Amino acid sequence: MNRLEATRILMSWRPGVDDEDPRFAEALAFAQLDPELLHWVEEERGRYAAIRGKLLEIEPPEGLAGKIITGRPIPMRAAWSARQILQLAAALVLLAGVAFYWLRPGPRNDIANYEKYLTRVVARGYRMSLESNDPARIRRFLASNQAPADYAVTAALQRTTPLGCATLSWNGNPVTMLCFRDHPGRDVWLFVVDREAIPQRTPNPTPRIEQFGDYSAATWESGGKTYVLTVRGEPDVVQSYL
Amino acid sequence: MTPDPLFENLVELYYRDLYRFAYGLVRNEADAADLTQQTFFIWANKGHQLRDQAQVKSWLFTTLHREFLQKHRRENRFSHQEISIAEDELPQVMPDTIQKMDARLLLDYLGRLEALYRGPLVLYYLEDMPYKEIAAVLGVPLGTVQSRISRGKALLYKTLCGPGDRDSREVAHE
Repeated sequence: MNRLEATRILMSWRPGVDDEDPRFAEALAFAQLDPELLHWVEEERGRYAAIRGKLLEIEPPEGLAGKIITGRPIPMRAAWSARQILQLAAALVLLAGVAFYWLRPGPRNDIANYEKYLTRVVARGYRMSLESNDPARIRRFLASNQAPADYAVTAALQRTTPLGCATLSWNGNPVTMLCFRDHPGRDVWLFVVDREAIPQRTPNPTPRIEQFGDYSAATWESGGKTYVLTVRGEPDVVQSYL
Repeated sequence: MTPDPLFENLVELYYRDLYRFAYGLVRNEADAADLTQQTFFIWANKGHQLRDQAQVKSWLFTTLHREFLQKHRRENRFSHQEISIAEDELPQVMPDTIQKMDARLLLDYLGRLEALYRGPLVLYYLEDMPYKEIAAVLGVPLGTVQSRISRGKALLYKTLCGPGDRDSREVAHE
């Protein structure tokens, strides 16, 4: 080490702070052998102390501490842990999903969509709310469940065996589903809903027959009700139950 | 607002040091106070993420410096110039001269240095932080901190001496 190197090192030395750094210790040891350098080190120590002392005279503005304390935001961690935030986020996502499900626009409320909906019900399978061969009991059950119960069954259907009933919903309106069995392998379904439940329709007391895939449906209106009779088969099959 | 003794204690412990550091960086009272307040604001929101509570002081200084860099990005980006003074030609200002000086005037001289020297110098003079800690606070390598402090001091001395005062130098070199 020479004087220039020692000077450069000691330029950054802080008495009492950097004493344990071997780099400074070596440079200080070198300075002990060089009176001129040692004198400079002493002066440098004085300059360091003077500048430090002056900077420490700088005081923050009056009231800054109070301003910081009163301006403290409510800490997130006190009320919401990271786990709670995640739980809240998950709940919001779930809520958004439920809201989307419930608020999504429903199918257009016309007779064609209604018929398709009923055909899907029988095609995909269903569970009867009441299994009974007793027409009166079925009617009482429907009445007690706020489903249309003052329906009229066609003469052809009256010759079949009632199996039971179920209650459905179409745009918030109760729909009665009556199940009949004509003979093994042939079930017939009659759906009844208040006529006002399907505003977009052409009033027609004469049955109109449509085919939906493997199923045929006859639709007509009578006594303030809209009827849909569905059966698996060609239109002539459904015609035979009218 | 519900009092938070821990937060209040932390403010009492460090707000002066942080304010002086901020003042050295931004060179005016209002901005320094804002920067100090902002630092504690960030602590109130994010301080709980600090696992080693022994590092609180470093965390606060690091945060303040980061905030300063963000707010003064333009100044810092375009201010860098090569230093024109050699470390072996140090102007030697006398300690008496400094002691007679008003503290604000000294800060004013310090404020004439570029930001990349001001931060290390303020920490060097005011905080008893090891060089490694200063490097961590400023987010620069250790060697860079050492060189900025040396060069910053040389520039500060030059500024303190002023033009025509170079006769008083006592340069220690071979």
